[in-house]
Amino acid sequence: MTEQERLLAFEARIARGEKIEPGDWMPDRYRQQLIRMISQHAHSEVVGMLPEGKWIPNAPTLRRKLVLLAKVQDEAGHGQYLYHAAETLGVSREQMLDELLGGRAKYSSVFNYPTLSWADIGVIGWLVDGAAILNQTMLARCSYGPYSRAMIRICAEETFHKKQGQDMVIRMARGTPAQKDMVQDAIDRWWWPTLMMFGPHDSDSKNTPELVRWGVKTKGNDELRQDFVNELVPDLHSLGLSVPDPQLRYDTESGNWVSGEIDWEEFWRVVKGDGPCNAERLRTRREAHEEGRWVREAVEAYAKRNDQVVRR
Amino acid sequence: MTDTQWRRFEVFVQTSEEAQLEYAGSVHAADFEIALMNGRDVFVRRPRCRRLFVVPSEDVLFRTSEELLSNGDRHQPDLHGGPGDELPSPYLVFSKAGHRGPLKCAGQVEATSGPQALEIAIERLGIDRSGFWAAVAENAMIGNEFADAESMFTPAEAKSYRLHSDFPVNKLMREQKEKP
Repeated sequence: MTEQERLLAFEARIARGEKIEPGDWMPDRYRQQLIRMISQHAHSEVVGMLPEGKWIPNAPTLRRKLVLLAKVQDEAGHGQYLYHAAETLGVSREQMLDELLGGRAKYSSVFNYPTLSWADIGVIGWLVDGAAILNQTMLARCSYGPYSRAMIRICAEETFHKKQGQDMVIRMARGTPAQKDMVQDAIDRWWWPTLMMFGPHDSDSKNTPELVRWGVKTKGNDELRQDFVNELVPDLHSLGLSVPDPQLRYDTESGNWVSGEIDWEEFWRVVKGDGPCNAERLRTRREAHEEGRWVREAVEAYAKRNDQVVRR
Repeated sequence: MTDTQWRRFEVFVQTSEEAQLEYAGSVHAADFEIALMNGRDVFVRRPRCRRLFVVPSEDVLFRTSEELLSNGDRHQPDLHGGPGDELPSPYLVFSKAGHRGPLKCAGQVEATSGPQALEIAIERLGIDRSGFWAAVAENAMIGNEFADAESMFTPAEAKSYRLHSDFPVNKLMREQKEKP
């Protein structure tokens, strides 16, 4: 088969809804795009532990502390599922971690914003995890088998995170005026960074058309963002909460809640490393890695003593 | 810079004593004991599990239908089976359940190598164009005993926040919207 025939056969498989599996022929570009997406996604889960982890010692009740601990633990697990999925494409976990710790890897910019109050934990759960679920539900149908299977597992657990967060926001919105103010302040700070999670407009996203053609994505960034706004706005309003967007309006013709424009300058600034917490996140990851070194050394010494081969 | 590239282990999970074994994914670990612990922490934090197995990655043969149908791979000798190692032993064969499903145990065969195990299984089960397969020698799998399941998995099962009913958000939102 010529390269062109192979490509046509590959695209026909995707069109039939078949999953591409690790040993199958795939265009190099498909492999590279998936490595990029899956590793960024894995890094996002790992870095995503940090803003919430900060609040574990300060949770207001034991139950809320346990719930948050379990959520952060889930995120560690999701990072591992995803590193595994990326490994099936020929990249090593060591390479990916080197890129993250070396500051060369991208991850979701939303985690470069600070968590200033306990209400942020609820708002992140409902808004940030809610936005992530929309994206991940789409990716659970993606054409690459290992990524799709990782997403199916992840979506099941993210649903808990969203519910935990929404539960907190509802209870705070119904609580004392101080609680309600606190949760409104958190929404005001997280609303726009959450909308930015869906990425640039499709007209500015160079990757989208190819990813749609290869069945990696089935919806564009703008469509997913609109789904999110339509889902969240009525619920927030019914709780007496508002969205910090003076231009937000309901369009009766399309049935959409139409947002004002995202501050794209801020978006690109944070993506390029100049957000409020980019440097802090990287520093915390590096410190955690260094502080864990003695554990890795001990584990390795123990394995060697028992005569097990350590390195692959 | 990092020292994280330990040996890779493939992880298999059994959700109940009656359920088929399922392929979950992989972890890196310095030895079998830590591989089992990592496997549990990564793959069974919330879902139910009775038994967990880990196998060094080099002892699992993964093949897609495309690979099996397009070359003579099935007849190549097993890399790990040296000369004289010809006595058949039990292999577990896994295959994908539908397009979206995970790899599930499709049965046990007696074979002298992974490729032969797949060949026998495919003769028995048939092969579809978009399949994904794995073969593992049973004696390469290290798992917990059923008796250890309680101490390994029950603590996670007892967490009330593992249940959707612990977060009745739909009910709360309905109440909210019905308020005058």
